[in-house]
Amino acid sequence: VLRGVGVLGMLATHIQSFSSVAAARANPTVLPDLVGVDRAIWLVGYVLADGKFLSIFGVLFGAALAIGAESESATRRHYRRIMLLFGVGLLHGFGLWYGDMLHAMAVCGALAFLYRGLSPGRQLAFGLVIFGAGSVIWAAVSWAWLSHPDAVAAAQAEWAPSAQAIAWEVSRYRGGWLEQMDHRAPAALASMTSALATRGLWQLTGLMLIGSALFRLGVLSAARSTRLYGAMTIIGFGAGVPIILYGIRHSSAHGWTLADFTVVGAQLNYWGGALVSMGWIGLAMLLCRHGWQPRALEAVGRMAFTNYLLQTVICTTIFYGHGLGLFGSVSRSEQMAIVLAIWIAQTAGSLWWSRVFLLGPLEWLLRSATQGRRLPIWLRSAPRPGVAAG
Amino acid sequence: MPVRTAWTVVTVSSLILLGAGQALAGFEKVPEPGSLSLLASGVAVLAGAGWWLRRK
Repeated sequence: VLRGVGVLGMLATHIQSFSSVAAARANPTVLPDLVGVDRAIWLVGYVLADGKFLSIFGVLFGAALAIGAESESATRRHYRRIMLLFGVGLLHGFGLWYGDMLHAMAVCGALAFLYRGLSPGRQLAFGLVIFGAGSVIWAAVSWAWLSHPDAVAAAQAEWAPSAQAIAWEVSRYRGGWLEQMDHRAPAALASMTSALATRGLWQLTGLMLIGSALFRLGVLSAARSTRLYGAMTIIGFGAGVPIILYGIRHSSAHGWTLADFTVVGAQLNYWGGALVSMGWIGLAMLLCRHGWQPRALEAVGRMAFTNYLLQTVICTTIFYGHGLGLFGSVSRSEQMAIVLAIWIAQTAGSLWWSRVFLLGPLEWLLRSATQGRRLPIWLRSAPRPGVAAG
Repeated sequence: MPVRTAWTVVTVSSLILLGAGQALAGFEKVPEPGSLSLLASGVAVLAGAGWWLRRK
């Protein structure tokens, strides 16, 4: 269920990067028409969704690591799967959309696997330390970076691009696949190197260890008390939302300059975002404990890998030049209408697929490639495999 | 010290030094694409810590 919530929730955030200039996702001042309902949509998305569902995926990836056996063949299978995931991530990031998360999941999944023998308590402690290290490293890099005015000016130009730069980015994505590469390739490279090194590596590896510990403690199986999940929900949203809102208020008061956002807003979103993610997990578990078992979300979650990549294929076809070419021409409220339509299509499609097949098409391909043999895919041909967390 | 352990220690230490060296030499380049050595350094720190904890 959680995986289903995560993969659908992610689209509400990712649609901004699919449909408009990269800087507009975090910086609300980039596009002048962000007022009224559109501004409210950005605000709700930034506070409750942006990065929060990625964190949930990190936690769930960690839970999956906890399920794996300790044998040598299981280790070999894990690293084969990680290599395949990394390969798909590279193709996805450079070939279709620079916002790929699979490469980061693969790198961090390989690292988190090394900590699998630790007790849940130690995994939780090291997870928190590694997650915290991400914040410290980001702060150290930011402070050092601020002492280089030329670098700050260059980055500020990307953070708040000129009308000319916006027009160039729009023209790239309204063009053919090769023209899109002018923006996509450097953006994907930045995401896979500097962004991963200074932040994602620590954030996701830490969350995976936390997820592994929480799963082993029964927290992700709705097996703990209602009181615990209630506390997770109240503390997660109750503390996380005000922290992120304060960051937005602070950034607005300082004109949304990158120098200020890097030092204050980004840090508050890092910690506040983790709390909000815990709030989402607590809420989902709370609902599950009260008999909420939506089959549609289960079906979407069971084929999360397929649905995630399918979202890219659908959205790049709608917004990029090799498809309808609507990049840069869709408002935030129109984006939400498209998100809703894709949610309905993916939910209905996943439900239908799960009635006929054992695994999603890409899940089947990945597992078959990992195990080096063609696995059964038809529901009638083999028993249904066990479902992981949530 | 077994050969495998020695290689692990040498590789992890080299990567950490490489990343730290780049960070000290050109912090202004860090937010730019291509800071592969910094990434390698981070990976080495986390892998080294995990490997060491499992051995303990």
